[in-house]
This record gives sequence, structure tokens and C-alpha cells, in this order.
Amino acid sequence: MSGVAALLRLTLASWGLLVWSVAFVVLYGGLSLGCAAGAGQGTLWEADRLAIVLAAVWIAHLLLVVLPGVVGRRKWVGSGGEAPADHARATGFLWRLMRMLLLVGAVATLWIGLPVLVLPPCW
Amino acid sequence: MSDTTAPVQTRERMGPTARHRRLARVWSNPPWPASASAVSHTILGKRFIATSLVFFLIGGILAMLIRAQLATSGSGFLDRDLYNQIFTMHGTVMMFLFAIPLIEGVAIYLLPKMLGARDLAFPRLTAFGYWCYLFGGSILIGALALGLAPDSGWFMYTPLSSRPFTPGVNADVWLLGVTFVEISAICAAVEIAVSILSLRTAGMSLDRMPLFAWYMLVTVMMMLVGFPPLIFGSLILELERAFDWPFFDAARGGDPLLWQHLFWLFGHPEVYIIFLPAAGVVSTLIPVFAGRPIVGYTAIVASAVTIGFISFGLWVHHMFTVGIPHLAQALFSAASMLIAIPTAVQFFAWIATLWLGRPRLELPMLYLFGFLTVFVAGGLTGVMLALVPFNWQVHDTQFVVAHLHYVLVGGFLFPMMAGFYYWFPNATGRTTFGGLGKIAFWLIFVGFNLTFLVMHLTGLLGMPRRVSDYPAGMGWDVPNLVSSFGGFVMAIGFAILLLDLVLSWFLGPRTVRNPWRAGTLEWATARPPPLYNFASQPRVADREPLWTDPALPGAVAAGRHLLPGDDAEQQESLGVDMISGAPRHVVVLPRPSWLPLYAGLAMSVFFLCFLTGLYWAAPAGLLLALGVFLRWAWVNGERRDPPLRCLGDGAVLPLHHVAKDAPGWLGLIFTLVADGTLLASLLFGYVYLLLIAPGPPAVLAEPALLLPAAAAAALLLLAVLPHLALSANRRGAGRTQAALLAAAALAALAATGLAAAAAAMHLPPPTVHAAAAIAAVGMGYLCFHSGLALVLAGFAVARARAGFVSPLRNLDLRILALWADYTTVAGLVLLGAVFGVPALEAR
Repeated sequence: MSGVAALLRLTLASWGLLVWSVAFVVLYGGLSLGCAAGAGQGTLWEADRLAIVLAAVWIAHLLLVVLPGVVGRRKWVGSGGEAPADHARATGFLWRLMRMLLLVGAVATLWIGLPVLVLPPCW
Repeated sequence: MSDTTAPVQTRERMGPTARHRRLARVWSNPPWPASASAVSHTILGKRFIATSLVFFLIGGILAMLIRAQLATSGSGFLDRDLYNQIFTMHGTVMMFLFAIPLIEGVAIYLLPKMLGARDLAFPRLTAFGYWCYLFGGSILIGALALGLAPDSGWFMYTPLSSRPFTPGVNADVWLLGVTFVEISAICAAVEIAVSILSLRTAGMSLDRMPLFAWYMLVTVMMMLVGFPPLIFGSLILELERAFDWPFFDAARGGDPLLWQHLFWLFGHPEVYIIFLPAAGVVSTLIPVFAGRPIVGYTAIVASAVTIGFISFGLWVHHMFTVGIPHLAQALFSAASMLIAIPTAVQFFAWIATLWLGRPRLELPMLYLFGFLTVFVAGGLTGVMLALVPFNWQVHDTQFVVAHLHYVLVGGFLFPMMAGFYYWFPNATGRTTFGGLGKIAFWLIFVGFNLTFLVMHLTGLLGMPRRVSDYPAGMGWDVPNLVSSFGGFVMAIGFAILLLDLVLSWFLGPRTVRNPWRAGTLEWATARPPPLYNFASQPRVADREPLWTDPALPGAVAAGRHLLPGDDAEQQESLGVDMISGAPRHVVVLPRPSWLPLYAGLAMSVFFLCFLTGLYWAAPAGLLLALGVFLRWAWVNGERRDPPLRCLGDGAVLPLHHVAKDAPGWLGLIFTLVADGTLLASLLFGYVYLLLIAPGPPAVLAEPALLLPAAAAAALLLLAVLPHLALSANRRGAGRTQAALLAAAALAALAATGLAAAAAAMHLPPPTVHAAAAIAAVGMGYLCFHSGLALVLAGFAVARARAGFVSPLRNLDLRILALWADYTTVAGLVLLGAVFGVPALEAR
């Protein structure tokens, strides 16, 4: 496997947490920019609009976390190159690692987004 | 395998002693004073560790001065100004000059041995990193000796650290000295990442890697992403102090909170950057002393990766009192609580390993029990601090000081002390005097808890941190006296520990090989290890090769494994497939060199010019450094396609000069990760100053499109031309390649000139508004990168003419192409941000 492909594989193993990171940045950044732009004030509907956008962003990321689970193990493991047995075992390990991190990413994304449902933004 | 048709080198047969002599000659280091040119990981790892311990002693003495001052109320031991310098330097020395470099030193010394390799991927970079660390640290300690040390606290909050409130050089010393040391950390991070991924021994697939390597891989990735925000913050604060560019001046659109964001974007991950390697030590030692493999290998790796990510989502919990919305506080509070879970997973795995094994209470385990108790307590107060209402109550009190010491001493120092005792026989060939180590442990453990357990109470009673004096009758006298007493008990413990290590180094009993009955490869070397580590690189088939095959060290010494060195003419180590660990090529490593020292000295010129206000002379230091680096790169490579290298088992491999995934290529990728984070920090600052910071409306660039569009066009050309040159190279069209490289150089020159002209003609003066200042920094970033692309393109032309480039040996061109790609993407983003936004607004 080429170096770039291997690095990509290693990065994708952290998919669950990559999505969590993006969700975190988008939620905090969206909140800060939204509040700076004057959202979250005025009528109840105007105040809630930002919260609804943030909640939608949060749910979209929750869906995004589980995406690689759909791709399946076979595509992930692939072919072995010079040492097929070592390659298969190592990619199998990466697959298990990825599954664990998908679960972690899903729980983490769920957990950090919950305050969006209960707290008004910009307050 | 390579498609080169050059002849295969053959191997002679020889005995272990003759092989050792040959390898020792090939890997030899000159005697003192020429030994300062060493690039060996074993030597430099020890230098990093020894230097960090000297700084630890200095930091420890500063701590004693603090405790002496605070022992009683109304103390006249230190005046306020001096006290400010001392507590600032205590934190700075311990974090930047002790903890991080000690981690680097341990990793640099151990990793190649654990991975079955002969050295790290970039030995000269190790040496350069060491000199940067030594010189940067010396600037800080020199300033302390002169009474000019930083005095604004180790996190240098603006506006206190800005020019009006810190008019002397004290803050400059911190900004420049720490940045110098951080260059060292970035170098180490790049080098360790590449080494872990591609310089292992045969058969060491990712799932067979020692856990310490996994922890270090996560740690160095965190360093590559975590340190650039602070480097960027230090750069702009220094620009504000030197040239009055108002990034943090609220009256001109700046915001002191921007500094807090940038600092803690670095600062909180830093805690885990320090903790994770120590946890790696714990995960290495516990299976050895439990006598069984670790429980939950994959779960531990997943926990380390999880901590690596989530630790970047905690930084605002240092800023809960600055007035951000409750929802934002809740986001960070949630993430702060979350991080306790992966930490706990590791604890349960360690406990399960001990539970299922037959634990031996040897000296290193004693220190690990200290870690387990102290760090759990620190973690629990961390969860308390993650809760916003409690955080508000104890913000900036001694409670926080107690918490951070529980985390850092518990989570870092106790495991590292365990590691010292554990690997001492490996590094020195001797064992320690066990009695002294036990006495030291109990003094440190009891002294630490006396100092800091009580300090929680002092904080809850309301005593603020960073005060040189306090009134009597507040209930703070007794706990402070107890803390000071405990501090001195702890100091005596550390003194005994260091005495034990020094005495044992010279007088300790000789050790047997693998005295702890460990399973990892560092114990397969001789005692102490020779500079080449392994006479032949062992093939491994599981995670604990020495448990599976106790005779492995003998077989390695007898040359029955790979690259036995019988015909070694140069320093070599296997390069492997990142995932499977299958050998892919043979990496040729450099001999001792003075270039790293020269590069470090040149960088010192730059930093010292800035420090002394000789701004006009500072670029000379950078130019000198550039010259040294070009020389450094020039002496790499081959002028002919090298023959294949025999591994000793009938297999042959190409040398790395013709390999697709040569270390230099991977090194650039990881450097660009750090560079990209620096760019992200810049863009964050730009957006923040434009949209979030209170104060007068932003002063932006004039809405002009001609020069920015021309610069963008030149950048696009810069991206395309090196790839066309690579294509010509593969076809063997040398003249076309030369012409395309020359054109790429011209495109880089044009991009630099046009971007500089656009900035000069259309940007407002950087002193008028923070947004204008950060736009100027953005254009400076662009010009620096395109200017370097110009140098790289010219360098590639010269290398091709000198015969270093062929269709097989095209690394110079690939590096240029990757750099040009990055420069173009970054440049287009910056041009869009600086000139596109005002143009859109004008419409």
C-alpha cells in the first residue's frame, strides 16, 4: 500500500472522532458567529432560529458519524501487497479500531450536542 | 521491489564479534569535542533527558523559593517583582523546558530500540531540535540570571504582557525563547511520526506495535496540531510588542481574548501531550510486572486516540469566567467531562492486567502506584472544574494550582520516574541501589500530598493564586505552612532520587540482559546499547517477541536476522510498509554532522536580534539558516541510481533514494500538517478580529482585484508546473524538465512579487486596526511560502544539473510539487480572505 493510501487509511480509522471534531467546531463557531451577527435576540422565533440551525447541524453530524459502517469491512480490508497475511491482520485491527472510534464518536457527538436542545443561544 | 536493474550487493560471512566491530566502525561517533556533532538517537536522547533534568532542578529551586515566600503571611523573603519572575519561570521551565523535552528525549532514546530499528528517520533533525531546545532554554534561564525573566505568568495573558504594561524585554524573552523551544518540539514531532510509521522492523505491523509507540504517535500528532496556535499567538504578540500592530489592543479593534483562545488551543491539549507518553510508559511497564500481555490492547489504542481528539475540545474551560454564552460553556463543559471516560478505560485495562497477572512489586511498580492514586485524585478534581458553577467559584484560586499539580505530577512525573528506574539498566548496563529509590518515593509521595492536598483547602478558603503575600487571619497561614513543609520534604525526595541515579550510573552493580523479563525489543540489545542497536534487525511475529523467543537477542547478535551488517558500508535501517510492516526499502542514515549546530546558531542569531531590538538584522539569521538547510539538503542523495541492497535472507530491496515513500516525502507531509494548523490559526484570528472582537469596525483592504487576481494566476501556474516537470522527468525528457522547473521558479517569483505589491498598495497600514494587521500577517505568510517555493525550484534545477535527479531519483521534484500545491491552496484562501471579502462587501 502506498504511503499516502496508508496515511488516508489511518486517518479514516478516526472517522468517528473527525466528525465529532467538525461537529464541535461548527457548533461553537456557528454559535459564536450567529450571536455576533445579532441572532439569538429579538422575538422568540428569531432567538430560536439559531438554536434550530445548530440542532440541525448536530443531527446531520450524528448521521455522518455512522456513514463508514455502511461501507463495510470488505472494502476496508482490501488486498495485501507484499505480506498479505500481515496486511490482512493489520487492516482487520484498524477496522476494529475504527468501529470502536465510530461508537465513541457517535456517543461524544450526541453528548456534546445535548445542551443545544435545552439552553438558549447567546444568553 | 524496485525495477532498477543494477547489480545486487553480496554478503560476506562473519562472526558476532567481527560483525560488532564492523557495525561499531560504521556507526561510530567521534570523540569529544567533535562528539558535539553526534546525530545518533541514543546520544541525543540522553542529551535531551540530561538537559531536561538540569532544567527540572532549576524549576524545582524556583518552586522552593515560591514555597519559602508563601510559608507565612507578611513574608519579606522575595519582593513582588522578583516573585512574579519566579512563579512565571517555574511554570515556564517545568512545562516547556522540562516536561515536553523529557518526553522527546525518552521517545528519541527508546522508540528505535522498541521498534527494532537502528535510528530515527531524520537523525540530523534530532540534533537540530536539541540545539534549538538548548539555545531557547538558555535564553530563558540567562534572562532569569540577569533579572529580566518573564513576569506575566506562564500563560502570558494580554494586555498584561503587552508593551504598555510590560515595557521591558521580559515578555519578549518568553515569546522568543518558548517559540525557539517549540521549533524543537515540531522537529521532534515530525521525526517521531515518520519513524513510528515507516522505520520499524520487519513484521511489526500496526497491531504488533508496542503501545508506547501508539501513544507517542498520538502525542506527536497532537503536537503538530496543538503547538502552531501558540507559535502563531507568540508571533503576533511579538509583532504587537515590536511594531505596534494592535492584535490585542481593544481600542484599535484587537481583543485580549484572542490571545486566551490561541494560548489555550495549545494549552489544554498540552496537558494530554504530557500525560499520554506517561500513560504509554504505564502501559509498557504494567504487563511486564504483571507477567502477562496487556488487557484490551485495541481499547487502549482507541482511548489514546480519543483523548488526542477530545483534548482539543476543552480549551474554553480555562475561560469560563470571561463572559461567553452559557450554551458555549455547556459545550466545553460537556467535552471536559467526556474526556474522563477514555482515561478511565485505560485505568480499568491496567487494573485488569494486574488482576489477571501475577504482579511483582518491584521499584518501578511502587512509582506506578503513586501515579495511580495521585492521578485519579487529579482527574476527579478535573471533573469538578469541568462543571461551570464550581469552576466560577474556584477560578484563579489555589485550588486550580493544586489540581494542575495533581494532574501533572501524578500523570507525568510519577510514571516518568517509574520509567527511569525501569529503563536505567538498559541505558547504563547497571542497576540502581533499590533502597535509595524506595526512600525517595516515600518522601516524594508524602511530601507531594502534604503540599498539594492541603492546597485544595487553601483554594476553597479563597486564597488566589499568583500572590506574593497574603494577610494573616484569613485561615490561610496554617495550610500554607503545611504546603511549604511538604514542598521541602518532596524536594529532599527528588534530591535522593537524582543522587541514586547518578551514583548508580557510575557505581551500580552490572545488570543481566532483560532484568525485568520484558517482552519488547529494547531489551534485545546489548547493555548499554551500541549506536547501531541491533547487529541484525529482528523479524517479529507478535507483540512481545522476547516472551515468545527468549533466544532472540543471541540470534540478532549472530546476524541471523535482516540487514546483518556483515557488508555494511553505511548506516542503514529498514523502511517498512506503514500498515503491514513488510520491508519496502533500506533507509541510508547520515553520519555525524555540524550542520544541525550551525542551523541552530543561525536561528539563535534571528531570535537574539529580535530580542535585542535589532529588527533590521534579524532576517540575516533566517538567511543564514536557509543557507545551512540548503547545504544540508544538498549532501543528501545519490548521483547515480543505487544498486539493490541484500537483506541477508536472499531478499533484496532498493535504497530509499529511489523509494516512493522515502522518509523525506513523509516528513514534508507531516510538516505541512503543522503548517496547515498555523494557517488555520491565522484564519481563525482573521475571522475573530473581523466578526467577533468588539471595538471599532474593521479596516479592510481596498476593494481591488487586478493585483490579487494576477497573484492568484501565478499561484495556479506554480501548482501546475512542477507536476509537468515530474511528468517530463518520468519520460526522461531532461531539457523539458529543466525548462519547466525554471518556469516554476518564475511563477513563484511572480506570485511573491504580485502578492507583496497587492499588500503594499491595497492594505491599510497594519498599525491602524487589528484586522489590517492580521491581513498583513496573512500576506506575509503567503509571500514566505511562495518565496520558499522559488528557492526550492531553483534548488531542484541545480540538483538536476548536478546529477541528483533521474526518473528513479525524483524526490527533489516531488517535494517541490507538494510544497507548491500547498502554497497555492493556502495562497488562494488567503487572497480570497484578504481581498475577496472587501471586494464582495463593496458590491
